[in-house]
Amino acid sequence: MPDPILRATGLSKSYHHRWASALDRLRGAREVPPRVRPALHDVSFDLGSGEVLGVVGESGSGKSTLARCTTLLERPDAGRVLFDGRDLTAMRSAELRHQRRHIQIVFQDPYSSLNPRYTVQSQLAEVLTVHRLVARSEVDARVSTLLDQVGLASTARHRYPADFSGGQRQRICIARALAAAPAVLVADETVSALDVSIQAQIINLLLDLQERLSLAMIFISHNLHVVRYVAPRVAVMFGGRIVEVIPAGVALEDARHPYTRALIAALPRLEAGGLDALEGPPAELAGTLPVTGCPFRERCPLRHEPCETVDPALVPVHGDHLVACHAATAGGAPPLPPVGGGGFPAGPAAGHTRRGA
Amino acid sequence: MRASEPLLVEHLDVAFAHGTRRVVRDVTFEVPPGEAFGLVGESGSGKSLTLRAILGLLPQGARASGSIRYGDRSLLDLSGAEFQRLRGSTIAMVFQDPMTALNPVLRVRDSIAQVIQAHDRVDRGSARTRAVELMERVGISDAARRSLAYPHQFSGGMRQRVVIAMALAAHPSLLLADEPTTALDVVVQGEILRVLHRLRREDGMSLLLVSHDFGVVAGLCRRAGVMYAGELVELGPTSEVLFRPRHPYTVGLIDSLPETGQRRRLRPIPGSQPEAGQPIVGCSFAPRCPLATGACRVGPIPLETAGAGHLSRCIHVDRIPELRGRGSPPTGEHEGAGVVHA
Amino acid sequence: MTASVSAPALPARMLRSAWRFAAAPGWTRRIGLIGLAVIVLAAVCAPFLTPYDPTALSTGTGLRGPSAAHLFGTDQLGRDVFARVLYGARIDLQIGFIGVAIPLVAGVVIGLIAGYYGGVLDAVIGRVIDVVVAFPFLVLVIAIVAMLGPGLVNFYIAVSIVSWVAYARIVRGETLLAKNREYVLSARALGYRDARIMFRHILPNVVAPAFVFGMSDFILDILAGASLGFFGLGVPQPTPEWGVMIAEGRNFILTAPWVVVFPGFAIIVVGFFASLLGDALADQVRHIDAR
Repeated sequence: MPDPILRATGLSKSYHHRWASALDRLRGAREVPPRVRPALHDVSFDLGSGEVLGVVGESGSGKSTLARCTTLLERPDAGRVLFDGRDLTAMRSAELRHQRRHIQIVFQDPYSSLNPRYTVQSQLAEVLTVHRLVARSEVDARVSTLLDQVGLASTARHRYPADFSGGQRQRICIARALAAAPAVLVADETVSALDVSIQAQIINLLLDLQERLSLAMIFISHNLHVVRYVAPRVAVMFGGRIVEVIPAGVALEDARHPYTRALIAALPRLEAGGLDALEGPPAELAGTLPVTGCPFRERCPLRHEPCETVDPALVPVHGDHLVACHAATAGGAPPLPPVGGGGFPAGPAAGHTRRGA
Repeated sequence: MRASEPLLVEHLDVAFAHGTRRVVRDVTFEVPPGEAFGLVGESGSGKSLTLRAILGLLPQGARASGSIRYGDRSLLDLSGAEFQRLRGSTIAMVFQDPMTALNPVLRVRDSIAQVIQAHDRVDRGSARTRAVELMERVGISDAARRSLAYPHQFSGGMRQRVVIAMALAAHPSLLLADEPTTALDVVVQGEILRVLHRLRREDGMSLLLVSHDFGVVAGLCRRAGVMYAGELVELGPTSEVLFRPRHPYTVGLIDSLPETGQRRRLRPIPGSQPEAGQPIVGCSFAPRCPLATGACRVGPIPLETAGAGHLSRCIHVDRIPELRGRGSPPTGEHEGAGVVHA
Repeated sequence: MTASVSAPALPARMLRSAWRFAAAPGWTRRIGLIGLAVIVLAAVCAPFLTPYDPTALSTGTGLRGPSAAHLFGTDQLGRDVFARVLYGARIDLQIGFIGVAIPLVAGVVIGLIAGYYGGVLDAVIGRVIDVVVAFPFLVLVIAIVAMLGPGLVNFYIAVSIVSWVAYARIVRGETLLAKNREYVLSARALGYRDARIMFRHILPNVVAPAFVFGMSDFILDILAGASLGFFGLGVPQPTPEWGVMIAEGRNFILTAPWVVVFPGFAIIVVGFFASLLGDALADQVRHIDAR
């Protein structure tokens, strides 16, 4: 990719008890074995200027950790994040603070994303004045523009967050993020907590803004339908790793990783009586994921010998289509469980058209 | 298990503050014995309260009126004691959040056994055995060993299975499910739905499912109703409601789904649902409806037949096909008919 | 109105919050506020409410019961009890307010910093808090005053050293919670400096429980002052202070109970109104959190 606006390489993060591993070291263990699977392990991706990248995964897949590490809200244990060529992970805090405005994030919960004590005007203006983005006299005008951009009436400015609904609050959060004039916007489950019809409004809003302002966007969600709708390129996460990257132009049905295929097969379909399909083995694990080897192997129908010990690497299987699976990369089309017609009334055609009628 | 009987809800109203805030208005539908019926709607549409009214679990200050009949019993007329006997044994309910539904200090098997013992006179040993059987029925493998676990040791999907097992423990003939899979991951969701589907078929149990997710209802229920602002605006066979919707709100809802929007732009409905309990004259959806005319705002709109077994609360049903060919979709919430007051 | 919140605006915001609290409906808060206001007013207007000098000795008129001339009677040295209660209010109210203000400000700031930064700083502060909290409040205050000597200033020093920990603990806990809420994360993502995040964003959302505690601390401080006075470590003679009055009058509790009853009653009344106010504040905080 020519000069990505954002590049993450080898991001890893694990939440472990420092005391526990310190105790291990005290007891003389030289190499401290990891007790649980890290939240994020060796994740890398590129984001082009103005590009939308989708990230889909269930809870525990590491997608939120990815969002936090990418925006440096948490420091990754390993790996680097480069914005426009500049290494954010190596920066000192003062410099990092200045760079932060270029990558903004909008969270899932509209009710705790806004400070309840300050008015909309106050919170939006603060961004502008702290970063000295506009002259003092222009602040009010810019706030008006921002509110208009996100589809809120100008009368909203003097109200407190408590006066707004969930969808409206998300709009305010988006306005606040835009106030910093970022180059990258991370939407971390931004629409997941909203009602369906409001969700659609906000999705459209994000897409419009992305197009108009040439924003690069990382759209994270557990809802594969929404992610695919929004983003041409989709990264699938499981167990703290990216297990597949489906590029633009490749249909979901052509996913190669067994987890992705299971995910697609499990999507509730808008067809009557879709549940008479076979009941497979339970996908549930009462325990945690295995620490070594492929994280998906316990549930995988293609499990074989290398899966136990070697964590598969994310490699291309066809052009930009990347998969992390021993079986998928071993060559040949593996016997995968069939994926039903994923859509309604007909499945999405190979190729991703979003705006065509 | 006693054979399931028809559930008939007629002109159900639920109101707060002495009837001034009506949050469920004139809801009428039926669930024939052994069938599955789904109520779809967004938050604030009144669907959960409708479900709770059936079991007498309304919050403080809420009053239900109208008629709810299960077989020949009138549920709204039951006393507290009679309801206690009914709950669990005849009509059981599954809630959304499995974590708060389970007692964290009880082993899973004991939570289930408690329900069994509350309704049948059996000793603890038999109850526990039966609990393990129920766990197997809901698809928990290695049930005997797993039954000794505490809720926090289970994942969300497992807990929900346990909750379903508890609901089934006293052999209900009608199961009410309020967003049973919303808190769960997609893959797990599919499995839970399959469990419900299987149980319904095997036991002949009736199922009333409430969800904001059309997909969930589509897979499980033969008939579905769409709720908006406390009213049932459309009712019919699920496939008809989905593929040939007869109410502008349903059309808008389906057009908002990325599943369906894959081939074209999402068309969200501008504005938002009126706050629960607001007095409304005429059609509750009129402020946001592209087909609305003066006639829509005059008086209450009745539910009328719009097809075989298909009802709609819209006087412009014949103009619905126009909606499918609309122009540029709105993004601002104040675009389109109806301004949302901040 | 400027778009951003500048320094002088902060007290203005606090005043506005205080006004909103005071003006809201609810008899608990009204009775508490009015009661305290009346007492403060009485203390301030003491010279107008009584012709007597609270320190004026008058032999021969000692231990007279309440009468038209002496509303609360006279004490063993002939001083008018009513006047001493009124002037004593000045001291005791001052003890309550200043005894809360200094630890509150210090404790809130320390708690904020400890909670926000975490790590070693938090660990150290946390241990200091644990040590101080292990001692009973009164014992520690008495010990410090005993070392420094009696007097109002030393009393304030002692109370400050001991009391700040409670506020720090409360605020630290709340800050730890607030730190992970999305509005704080957003502030960090927007590149705001730590000081701005702590004081402008987190502080208004965590400080309310500290004020609630402050109300009960207010009563505790007055009682501490009174207790010290009782032990002879309080304000020096002949300044009237309720605790000292009780201490000096305890020999006459059976013969001239008014010498002890009225100052005692004053403490109870102030405590009562302060606790009503504290209840109202606690309710308000609860409702805000429930939102």
